[in-house]
Amino acid sequence: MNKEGKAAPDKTPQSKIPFLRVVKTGFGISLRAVPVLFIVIQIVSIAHSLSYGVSVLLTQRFYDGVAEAIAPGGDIRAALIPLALLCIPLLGRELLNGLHNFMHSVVFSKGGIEASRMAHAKMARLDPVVLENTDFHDMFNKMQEGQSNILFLVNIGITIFTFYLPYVLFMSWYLHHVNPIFILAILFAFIPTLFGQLLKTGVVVKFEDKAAPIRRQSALFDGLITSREFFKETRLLGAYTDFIKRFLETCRELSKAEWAASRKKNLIELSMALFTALGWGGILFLLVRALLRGEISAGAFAAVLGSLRLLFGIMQEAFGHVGSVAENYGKGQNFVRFLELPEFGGAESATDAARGIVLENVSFTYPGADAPSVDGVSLTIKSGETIAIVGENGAGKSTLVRLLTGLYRPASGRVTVRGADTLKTDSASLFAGVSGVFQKFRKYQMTLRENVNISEALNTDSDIADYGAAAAALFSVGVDAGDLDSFPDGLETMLSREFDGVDLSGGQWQRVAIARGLYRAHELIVLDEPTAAIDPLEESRIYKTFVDISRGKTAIIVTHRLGSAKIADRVAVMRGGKIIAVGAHGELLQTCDFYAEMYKSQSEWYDQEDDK
Amino acid sequence: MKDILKKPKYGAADLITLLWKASPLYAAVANIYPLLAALLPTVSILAAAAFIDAALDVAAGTRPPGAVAAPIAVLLAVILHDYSLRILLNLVNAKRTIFLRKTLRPALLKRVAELDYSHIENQDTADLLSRVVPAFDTRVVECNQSVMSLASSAVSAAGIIVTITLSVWWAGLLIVAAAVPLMFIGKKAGENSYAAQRETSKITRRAAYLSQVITDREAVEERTVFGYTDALNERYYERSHAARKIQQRVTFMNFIKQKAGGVFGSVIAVCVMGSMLPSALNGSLDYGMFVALSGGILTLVSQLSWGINSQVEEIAKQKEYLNDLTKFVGLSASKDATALPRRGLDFDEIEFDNVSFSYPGTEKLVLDGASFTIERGRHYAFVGVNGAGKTTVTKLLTGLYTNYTGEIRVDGRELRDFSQSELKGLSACVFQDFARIGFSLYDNIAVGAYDADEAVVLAAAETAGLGETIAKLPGGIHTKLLKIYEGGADLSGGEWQRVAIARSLVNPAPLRILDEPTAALDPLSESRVYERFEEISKGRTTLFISHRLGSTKLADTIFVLSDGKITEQGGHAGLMRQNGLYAEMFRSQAEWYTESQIL
Repeated sequence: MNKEGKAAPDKTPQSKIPFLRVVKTGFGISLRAVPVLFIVIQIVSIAHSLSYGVSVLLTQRFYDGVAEAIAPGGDIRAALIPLALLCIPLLGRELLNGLHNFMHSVVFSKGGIEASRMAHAKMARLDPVVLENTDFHDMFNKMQEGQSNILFLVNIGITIFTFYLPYVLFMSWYLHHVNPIFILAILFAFIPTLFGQLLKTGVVVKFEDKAAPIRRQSALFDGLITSREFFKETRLLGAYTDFIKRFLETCRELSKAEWAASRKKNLIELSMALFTALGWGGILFLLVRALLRGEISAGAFAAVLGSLRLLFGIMQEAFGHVGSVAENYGKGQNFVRFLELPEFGGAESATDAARGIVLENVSFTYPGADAPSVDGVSLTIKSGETIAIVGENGAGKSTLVRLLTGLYRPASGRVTVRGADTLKTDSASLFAGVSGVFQKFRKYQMTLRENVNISEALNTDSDIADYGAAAAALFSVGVDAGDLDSFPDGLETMLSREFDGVDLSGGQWQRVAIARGLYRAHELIVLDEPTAAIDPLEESRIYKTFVDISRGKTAIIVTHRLGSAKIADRVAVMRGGKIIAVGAHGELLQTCDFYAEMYKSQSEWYDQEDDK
Repeated sequence: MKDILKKPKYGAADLITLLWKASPLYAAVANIYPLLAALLPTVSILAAAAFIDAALDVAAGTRPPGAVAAPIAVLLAVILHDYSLRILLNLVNAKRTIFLRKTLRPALLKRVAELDYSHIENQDTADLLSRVVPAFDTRVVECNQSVMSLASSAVSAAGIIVTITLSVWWAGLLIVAAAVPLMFIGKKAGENSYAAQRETSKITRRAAYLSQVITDREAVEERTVFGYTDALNERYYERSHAARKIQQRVTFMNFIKQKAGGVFGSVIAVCVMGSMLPSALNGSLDYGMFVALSGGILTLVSQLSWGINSQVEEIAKQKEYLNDLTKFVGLSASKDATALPRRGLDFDEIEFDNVSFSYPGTEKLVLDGASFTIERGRHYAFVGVNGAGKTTVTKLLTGLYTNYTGEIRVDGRELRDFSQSELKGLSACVFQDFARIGFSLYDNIAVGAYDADEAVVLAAAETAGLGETIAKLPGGIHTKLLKIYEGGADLSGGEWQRVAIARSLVNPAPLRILDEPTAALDPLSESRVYERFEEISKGRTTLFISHRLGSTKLADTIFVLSDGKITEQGGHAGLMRQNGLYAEMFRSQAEWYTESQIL
């Protein structure tokens, strides 16, 4: 099953999500996570902003007072009263600043958790086939990144209006009030920063596009040397010398790209800095001129001078944020895009186990694949029947099982599971009473008991009964939860080294996975080759246990080992996405050459007369 | 530079010195310049004072207009510096990042590559590596920066305080007296929030794990069929909020302390300003100086109450990293582990003599007095139940672990005395979890084969049965594999197996090991792999491990491992006659293929 046909990626050009929709989603998250705080923080933000403005105003009063006091015949009270007044915005500024920052951290941490929760819930509602998109992984990573972007977009975006804008407006008013020509100061501070920001964004984006593949390569060589996945082979092959050489080569390339971008970005900033300095020069000139002409008081002169640094600083910060709006919007779209992925959907529907499973001319093609993986399959599985599905790698066995359970929906044809059409039924109805042991079973880093009862959503109804049920399921596959050597805390033993528990061997994990499948109440159970890592003695035992337990229940077994298919009532033989034969094992040996050939090729290994 | 990883222990002083060892030039820029620049706020206060006084004098007509020129020039110079040198420094930093990546990183990679293999498999040291390795080159810089930012704050504060002291000496003392508790609060707050982060990291990691389960693509079947997302999501929500609450409580307490400090500081600042008034009135303090100092005091106070806490937190974090680094350099390693394999080795006999072994940090004896002999040119199979130690035998034989007791002798010479280069030259091993690398197909086969010419690689690909695959790939054997490249192709499980086999064929080592790389294969392909492997290995020594006992018939000798010992050995027929574990295992598999009904 070669997938090189997918090399030309099936990327549909990504639709742009309108700005307002992204913002709305961000607001939604924030309002759900922090409904009251979100409003309060805006008020605090405005007050915080004004406290800066008011301090400038009162500083001027103080400086004027000092000048007045110094003047011949002046009174120290002229300075002391404004100084006392100045305390108010100074202390207010201090408190509001702390409060604002603290509230921000709450808004972000609560918002982050809420956004993750939304993404998780969405993940459960996704149509499982969406996960098979070749770019799903990429899409998912971008969504995760976009999570913080969308929060930034909304919260920083609002701050522009509730913090920076009031400050700039206040300062404009103040500067204009001191001397109308000082309004130019705002422009001097404003224009260079704006242009710098615009130019910079373009460079950064372009560089990222260019550097990303080189960076991935460099990470690959790094990983070949350091990661556990490759370490053994790198060591034994003596490949270090080669890898480090290639690592250094990509380093050189990456450095070149990085340096070029960095130089360009910083040169833009540098030229903008010169403009900013020019702006400063202009303002100082205006200040001196106004003072010389007697247009402003000494106090106003000193206060304006003292406030300029903050004005320029805040202006730069504000434009940094304005610049980040574009970036956050761009990346925040990925989060919204994820939330808008197609869902599984369907309606609630009663099921009737007695009606078995019926496939009528069912086909299914993976997204981005050229050929169907399951191609025009019809099959009826009676209630209570055990059916084995066999075939070579890539014959479509696992896909067929996913169709049979309703996990995937047919592109054409119809699948009716226990009387419910999988195209129209919701997942709760489809999977109630269905269990499975899957090829890619999970090793949950949870307790032994949770590793079993997770198949009933961590059943917590009645602990005592659940202990018994979990222990029984484990015991039926040969895991003794009471064996304190292997499980020091019995069923509550944590199965994870990372969380201070124990680790199991591959075979034991597999048994736990089987116990998990058996634990779940079921009328229909799927066993998708669950014994690959188990030794032969254990394997036979498990198959036999399985047959005992699933008596009277519908069971579907996928297996490579044709010998084990014999325990099934019927065997379905798959080849190239089609079912080429269905029948009892004995029957198929007679009627299906392909099955007979496969069986023979395996059984001859075990032919005891064959004395090689 | 090279001895940056040679210290036995890394402590507080190394926060600074690591960067100096890595690059004296960049360290000098990073450490000297910021300290000088930290004096500029003081310069700008003095210039502002002079500017205001001059401007007022000019306005009053007591000095010519030219008097403002000099202070304005200084003021502008400081401003210009603020904007431009910062940027030039960015450029220097970009160069530094590049420089460290190509000097420091390879030194670290070499060190990792030399580690004893046991550290890679051990969970604790593997975690240590994941903390130390990825961020190493940036950490060296961050360590230095963490101290520098505190130091430049201190210098800039000292500059302003000295200026104040020179003008009104007791005002300076007052500020210092007020600054001490502020700094203390800041330090405490930083330590608290770092401690809170550590405290919650366990909860956060668990929450992150739940998130991973809920979103893992591979978990889709269990997740959907078992319908556990809501339950896990609820748990995720609870845990995340539990962690958040702990952290938030600390943040809040810090906020209270810090702002109490800030308010206290502001009050002190206002008091100082008020108490400087008489000096301004009696003319001993210029108006300009008074105004400029007032501004300076306000800035200083807020800097003292805000900045220090995050700086202290940062230093605590970096010191923690140095502790990890100390552990990392203490890990055992062997110098020649990166050596190239020696070619042309051969042997007549490998003998395991009463070998016992347990994995470091565990007590269970995986091998417990195992003895057997491997002879040149013959084929061997190892069988046994799960956990019997089959894979462990290959790990000892390839020299990955050396802490066994008993002896492993190659033609009488103990394996532990072999150099790494000889060990590598001795065996070619296909592991269960062989590497799938994002190289071209050709490079995937030729990886590590530094001396193999193209014809050998092409022949190996052909022999391993990759001919069809190569014909199908758009760029033939030079097609890049995996998705890390635009247009990279992916292979099926079976095709990858063949790549792994081809890789071992290119390797001229005298012993070939096949450690059950066939679990994912269907029976037909599997039999083909084993048959082909034996066929192309005629005349060579091979050793393979398989769960499917039918294939073991290909071996001349089968070793049955049980409880860490070789309990049975011999040909298939002989072992069947012995009627021991092998026979039992074989029959339990064979009965699936006998015509009698088993149930």
